[in-house]
Amino acid sequence: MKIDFSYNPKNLEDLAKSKMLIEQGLDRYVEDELREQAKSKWQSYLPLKNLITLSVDDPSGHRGAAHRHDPEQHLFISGLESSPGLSKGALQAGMWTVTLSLHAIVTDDCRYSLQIWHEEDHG
Amino acid sequence: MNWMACELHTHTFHSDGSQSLEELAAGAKALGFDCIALTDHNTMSGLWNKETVEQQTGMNIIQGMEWTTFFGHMVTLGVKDDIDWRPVGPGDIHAGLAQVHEQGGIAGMAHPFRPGSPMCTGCYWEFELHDWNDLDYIEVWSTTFAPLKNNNARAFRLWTDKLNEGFRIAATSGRDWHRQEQTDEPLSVTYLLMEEQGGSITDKAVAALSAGRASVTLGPRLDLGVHVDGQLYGIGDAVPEGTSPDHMIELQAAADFEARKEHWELPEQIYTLRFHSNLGMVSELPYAADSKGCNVTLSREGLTWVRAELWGTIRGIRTMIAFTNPIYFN
Repeated sequence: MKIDFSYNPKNLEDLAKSKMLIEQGLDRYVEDELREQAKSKWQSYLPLKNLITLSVDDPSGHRGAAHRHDPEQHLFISGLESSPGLSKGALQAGMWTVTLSLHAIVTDDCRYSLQIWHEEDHG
Repeated sequence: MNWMACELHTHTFHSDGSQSLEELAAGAKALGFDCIALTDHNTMSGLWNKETVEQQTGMNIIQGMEWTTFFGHMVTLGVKDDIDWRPVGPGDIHAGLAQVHEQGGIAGMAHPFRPGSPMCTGCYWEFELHDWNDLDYIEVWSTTFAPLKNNNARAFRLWTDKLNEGFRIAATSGRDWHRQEQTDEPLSVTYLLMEEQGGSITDKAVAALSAGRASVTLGPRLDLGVHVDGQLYGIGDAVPEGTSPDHMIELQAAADFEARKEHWELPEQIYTLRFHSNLGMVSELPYAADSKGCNVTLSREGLTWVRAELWGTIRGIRTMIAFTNPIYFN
């Protein structure tokens, strides 16, 4: 089974919006007395990135996740091998599920493409 | 039992690392570690050739996974099957912890105060934890030159607060190691006191950390003992209720400056050894590198836990260099 997955854009290029989002985050996550110091280094968090991760389930269970930042991934699962993060093994007939998890979408617009197909193994 | 130098938080390209398990294990070997835990994000596929890599590199590899959710990252050790993170909401952490424990694993908060979304979703612990007894450990020292980092200082305070509230939670370090890169920054080590016989390295590490037999350092390995009524108790032990009428106990601490000594550097100095407890600091003594250890006699009255800390100067900065997990008092 092959899975081609991509999304775009990856980074938030708008610096003013980045600064605002980072400062909002630091307001929430940094203690009062250290907040201004943290905000003065807001640029250390650049660039803010979109992150979508893909995971796979076959009819009887979980087949792993591809938790990584690459915005373009060409993944596969077969009986003897699989892409890193996914589990190799028999491809069972039935309902499979591919889940896209949106860990962070920082841009106003983010488009993804997901293509899944099956190739017969002649090996 | 043996003290094993462990790195408990690592990644490979099976999640977002840029190294193979073999590169990681060889890198850990070169740094003098005995043991690494592979804790890839939401997958254990990186362990597929664990035995081969162990044989090739001589590194012991603990089976782990970083349960990477939107509301917190949780490092787990000893989990055998996947635990679905995707349907987990901010109030669901106890269900996740129960699944880890059902599989014979243990779980710790990873870098609980690293800023979260949109910088790093889930990096900051936002789960509502209702019963701290369900949590096995807290990664209080994350990344390199850990004691200097504000997020780690806050995690260390959280750990101390929970000990003061009566919870017996262990504390660890973890580099969150994603790639082989040279760094001049001091590296943390979590030493685990493991049984010599029986079980896999994963089983032994889980048993050691569950029992709180852990000591964390940037350099020398710090050990702690308590003498009571002719008995010696070690790190992680609970001293039973006293029988001697005067309640006197003897604390002893020693730092092993031979441990991994090719891999860290400290200027010649007189260190400070502190015994810290729920009653605050109970004793502070000068400590020389060639010392055989130091002892303090005091009353156990009111004590619920005590740990040792080694303070000194590293890279021109005065900071905590090592700390033990506590010995508890019933």
